[in-house]
Amino acid sequence: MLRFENVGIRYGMGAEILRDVSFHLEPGSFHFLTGASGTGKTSLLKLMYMARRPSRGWITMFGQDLVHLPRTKLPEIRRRVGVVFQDFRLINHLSAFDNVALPLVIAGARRDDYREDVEELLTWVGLGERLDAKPPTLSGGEQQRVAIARAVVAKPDLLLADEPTGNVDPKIGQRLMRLFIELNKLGASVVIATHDDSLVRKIAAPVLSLENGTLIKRPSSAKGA
Amino acid sequence: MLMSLPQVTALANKIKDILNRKAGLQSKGTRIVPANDATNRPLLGVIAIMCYFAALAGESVLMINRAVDEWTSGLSSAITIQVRPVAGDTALSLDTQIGELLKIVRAAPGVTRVQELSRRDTEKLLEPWLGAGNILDELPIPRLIDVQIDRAHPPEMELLSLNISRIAPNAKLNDHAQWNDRILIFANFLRGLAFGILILTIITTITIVLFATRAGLTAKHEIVEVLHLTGAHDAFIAREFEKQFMSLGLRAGLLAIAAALLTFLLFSGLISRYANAEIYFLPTPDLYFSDFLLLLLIPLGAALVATLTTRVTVLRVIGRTL
Ligand SMILES: Nc1ncnc2c1ncn2[C@@H]1O[C@H](COP(=O)(O)OP(=O)(O)OP(=O)(O)O)[C@@H](O)[C@H]1O
Ligand SMILES: [Mg+2]
Repeated sequence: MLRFENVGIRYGMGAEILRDVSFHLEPGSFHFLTGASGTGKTSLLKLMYMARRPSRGWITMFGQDLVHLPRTKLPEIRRRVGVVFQDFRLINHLSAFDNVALPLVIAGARRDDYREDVEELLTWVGLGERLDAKPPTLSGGEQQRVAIARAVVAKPDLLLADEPTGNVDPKIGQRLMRLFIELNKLGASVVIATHDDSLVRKIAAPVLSLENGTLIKRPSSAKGA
Repeated sequence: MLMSLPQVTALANKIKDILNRKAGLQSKGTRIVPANDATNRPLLGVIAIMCYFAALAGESVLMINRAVDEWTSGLSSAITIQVRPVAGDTALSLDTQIGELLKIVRAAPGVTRVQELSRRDTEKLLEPWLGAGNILDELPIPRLIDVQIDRAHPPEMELLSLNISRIAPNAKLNDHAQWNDRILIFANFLRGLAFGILILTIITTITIVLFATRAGLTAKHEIVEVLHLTGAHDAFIAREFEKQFMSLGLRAGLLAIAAALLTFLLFSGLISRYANAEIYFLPTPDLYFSDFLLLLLIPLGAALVATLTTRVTVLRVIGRTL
């Protein structure tokens, strides 16, 4: 479903921050992406949600060659990918509801068709009372939950979450992880970038670890896995 | 016919509502890409001024056309024969010549009515220049024959001219063609000028909207990026910007035609108050219903120009991103 082969990443003319990255994600798989701060977790995810192209190597996703895909074909693929950005990237003048509804609006859905889904989802992440709140009036953790709801609302085939529990307490964090697990059960592949070791230890899932400028795939470190 | 400012605003708001209805957002009246009121208000003013110039230029063309029609339709169905008295001509021999002329002209095919202008008529014509009085006795004033012709089947001018000069060597046939041509040259120049102004206002509007769209794209680049990454097509993003500028163009155009209508009401008021026979060359500045329809093209045209400019600009700029 997603395959990287000898991928390199570099910004501008600088040295490659990651090189020879090769891995393969099965449909319906669940992975953590770990690595110290600044090792390139966000950069790797950017390749997956097509915000950048690799400096070399091949990436195929949903059977398409991402490196050579014309940009007119990108929207169809991006719609199958849900992203929780590390910096949320909510639209400040839109309500929490409209932010969450955005992927559906972009896909051409009508308000009457998605209203219940969006409300239900926001209630699940604990924001049922704040549907009309604008992101700047929400706390960091609340904004993060809006961002997560937006990422999962269109039931993507691939979910990419960059530090999705960085700003919330462990209890809400667990609840949010449940959301990802449910989505995963529905068949979506999930990749969660984090440096929260306790999270990685709690859930039995293989780990993509960034070390020494490249990617190493490790089995789950969860107890009993 | 004239819309008050509140009416214009109400109409603009209605159009805004209609535009927003399509975006499937929960909160009505909210746009994914918000308009920047601080920059859009001066923009509205400048585009409204452009539209106002365009309205004046368009209305001028209509008035020129109407004036040309009025002038030339009177002239082209009439020709004049001028008989100048020369030394030795007595009033009697001149009368005989005129009598003969009337006869042959009347007999010519294509002539519908022939009449010599009486002394009184000629005097009247000359009065503004020479003052009232018994002018004819002191001055060798030419005698004039007014000939109405059938415009569909006009007489053979050269033959008529030849026949006339055989009878009266000093007679001159004047078919006003030259005068007509001069009016047309002048009118065409004015029409060209108005058309040029129209083109310039369109170019200026395009330039203004282009820069505003670029600035908007820069200011909203974060939103644009999120939309892209969420799977929006370029056209979707372009449409979000288009809505802004379409409504801007519409509102500017409506303001402009309100101002243009005021201007013409003022102009026609002035003319009907101060004009008299002496400035008969001024065209009648009545506003016709067809003119009003033409003015309505201005907000539509402004909206179209703004929309297309925005679309092309947005597509070009974001086409360079991934
Ligand atoms: N736009 C950019 N231009 C140049 N260098 C960049 C850019 N974005 C990231 N980098 C560099 O790439 C490296 C990896 O950054 P990245 O954001 O991918 O790290 P990360 O693993 O996500 O870190 P964190 O855990 O702190 O989020 C860093 O050294 C960073 O300085
Ligand atoms: Mg990061």
